[in-house]
Amino acid sequence: MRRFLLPFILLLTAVASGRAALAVEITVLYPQPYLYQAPIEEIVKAFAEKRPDIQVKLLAPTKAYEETASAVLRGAITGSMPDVAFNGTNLMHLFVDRKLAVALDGFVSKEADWDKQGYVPGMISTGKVNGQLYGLPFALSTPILYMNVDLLRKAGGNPDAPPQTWPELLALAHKITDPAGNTHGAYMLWTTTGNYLWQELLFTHDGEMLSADGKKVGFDTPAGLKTFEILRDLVTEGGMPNLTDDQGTQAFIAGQIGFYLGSSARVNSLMGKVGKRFELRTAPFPSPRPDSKIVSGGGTMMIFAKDPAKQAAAWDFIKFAAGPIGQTIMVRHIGYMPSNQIAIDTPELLGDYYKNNPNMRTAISQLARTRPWLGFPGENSLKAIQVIYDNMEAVVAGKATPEVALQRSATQVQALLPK
Amino acid sequence: MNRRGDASLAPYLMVAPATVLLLALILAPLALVVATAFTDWHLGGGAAAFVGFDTFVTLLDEPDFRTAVWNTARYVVFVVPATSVAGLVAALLIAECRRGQALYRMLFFLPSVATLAAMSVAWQMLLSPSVGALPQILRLVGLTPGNWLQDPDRALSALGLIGIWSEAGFAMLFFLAGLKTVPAELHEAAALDGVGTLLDRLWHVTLPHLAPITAFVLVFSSIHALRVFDTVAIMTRGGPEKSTLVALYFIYQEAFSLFRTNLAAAATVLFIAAVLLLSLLQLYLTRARGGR
Repeated sequence: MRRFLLPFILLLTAVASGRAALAVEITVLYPQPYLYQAPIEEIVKAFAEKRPDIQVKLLAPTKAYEETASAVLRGAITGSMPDVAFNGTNLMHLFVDRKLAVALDGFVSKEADWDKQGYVPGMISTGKVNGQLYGLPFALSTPILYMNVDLLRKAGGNPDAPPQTWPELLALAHKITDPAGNTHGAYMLWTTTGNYLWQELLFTHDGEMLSADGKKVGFDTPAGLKTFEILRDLVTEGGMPNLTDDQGTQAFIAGQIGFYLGSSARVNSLMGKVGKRFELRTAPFPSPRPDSKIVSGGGTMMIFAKDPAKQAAAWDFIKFAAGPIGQTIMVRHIGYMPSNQIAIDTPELLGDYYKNNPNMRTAISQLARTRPWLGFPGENSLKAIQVIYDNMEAVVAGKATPEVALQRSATQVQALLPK
Repeated sequence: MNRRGDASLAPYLMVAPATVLLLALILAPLALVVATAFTDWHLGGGAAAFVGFDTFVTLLDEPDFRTAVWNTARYVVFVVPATSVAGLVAALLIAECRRGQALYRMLFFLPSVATLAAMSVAWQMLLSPSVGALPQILRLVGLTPGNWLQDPDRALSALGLIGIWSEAGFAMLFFLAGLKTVPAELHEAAALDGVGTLLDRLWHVTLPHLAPITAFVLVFSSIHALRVFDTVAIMTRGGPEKSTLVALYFIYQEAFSLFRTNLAAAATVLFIAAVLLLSLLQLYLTRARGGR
């Protein structure tokens, strides 16, 4: 008995110590488990097969992006930040301003064939803050147009030639609107976090959030005015009801709304819920020109590890999650936009998937036009977003004119920018 | 070691655990909050710099803060009297009950025991304009229900009514206890003196006797009303158009969604001061009663 036991114990210790010496453990924190849990767990599994030398430990997920941010910031005090966190792209400023996030440019420059790994430059640029790369995109979306084709046809519209500009859309929405029949022409998800749709309206009209030197408000322009005018027109001409996000979405699913404008992230869930109730089609977001810039944002992977070995392991993990395999797993689970061209083009990855799902193609058809969903700089970053939200709400409720809303937003945001 | 030495040490040893806990869990964090209020520190930021009263100046300049104070005041003024009256009426009715006293007491007290957060979710469903039970009932009897939680003129009142619903049971319990202390002889004497009707006796005998407990109920319902949070966080998130932005939700938002930690700390300091003032008032009222 003894003779067998000793070598066995020796072997065990050898394995255990060997593992400890080889495997680098990294911790990963992510939000929105109802969306991200399944794809991230599958990605971790696929990564483990390729890289047994790195152990990825998933921390208990948080509910929303803000809570992940809050957990990272708390971790900065207690010395317990996760090595990798999935953050909202518009919250990246928080970590860069506080010098907590690790810049990734050094890792990119060490990659021998970065250009050939398929990362779409426009999408990668969503991870830049102050010109430096701090995040690799995991799951991005852009605003698109969802159409109730039945209502559109009734109003004399042609679903094969969907409205491309605001005047076209508003005219059709006006015809669809019928208060007696409880149908509304359009509903825009203007309440989406981080002024997402407001930035879309601003960027499609060539507007800027900040002045060129980044010190002053940059939306105090005709493009800025346009954002609030469109909101007003949506209410006055497009029949947009003053509903919460949930109520508006329910109304669209119930077939009471002609045009629904919001993030492409909802394609999967809307198609499932609408089912056969009416024909649902997607189209590019209305813009003055077919090549206008559009906003893109979502979840981005940032590194917070301090130890170089862990940083390197973390980089390999986020590169994998943003790579062809990671992005294929992500898209098949939740239908966000992939940020990797190889994943999009390879038939057995996502190529066939897009061939068979035309509604999913709208978002990637906008891929080349994307620019990042931004946060304002400085410690009042999120407060500035709230100020703009309040002014949008005032316009939608008919309590402020676009001119007043713009003027108020500009003065209030200016006061909140770093001096 | 002699016996006397043990005896003098023993009391300290006995209060030590409580003292340590009080220090670690309440007093030290409180000191940190007060200290944070005088700095420019934000969650996750580096070293903090002392900025004196700057944070308080920014806070008082903040329109949202003023809105929050105003809304909280409106909420307290609406909820506190109604809670007390509802609690008193319930207590009087139950005290007169011959049968099923325990049952009624439990039924009225239930909302106060239930977790308000869970109840908020239930209320949200009850009030939902298209599928909620309440709007459907109203439609059945021919009325047109509104989208109350989405109506800036109604949302705070709707939350107030839920606040009254959840707090009245608590007030009732205190009034019931108070009613037990009203001596039966007083009622008999009043009846002999010709204070005939029930209402007269209520006015001349019962209520004066309940005055001290009423003062107590008013103060504690004020403190509870000041702390309104669950219903706001779950049902309206301060909206629409900030009509339900109350003090605690403002603090929560500044601290955990806007990450302006110092501003949240300053608001917390003012909030604690307000609660402390009310507590002192309560203490004073209790003392005044004792001295009479």
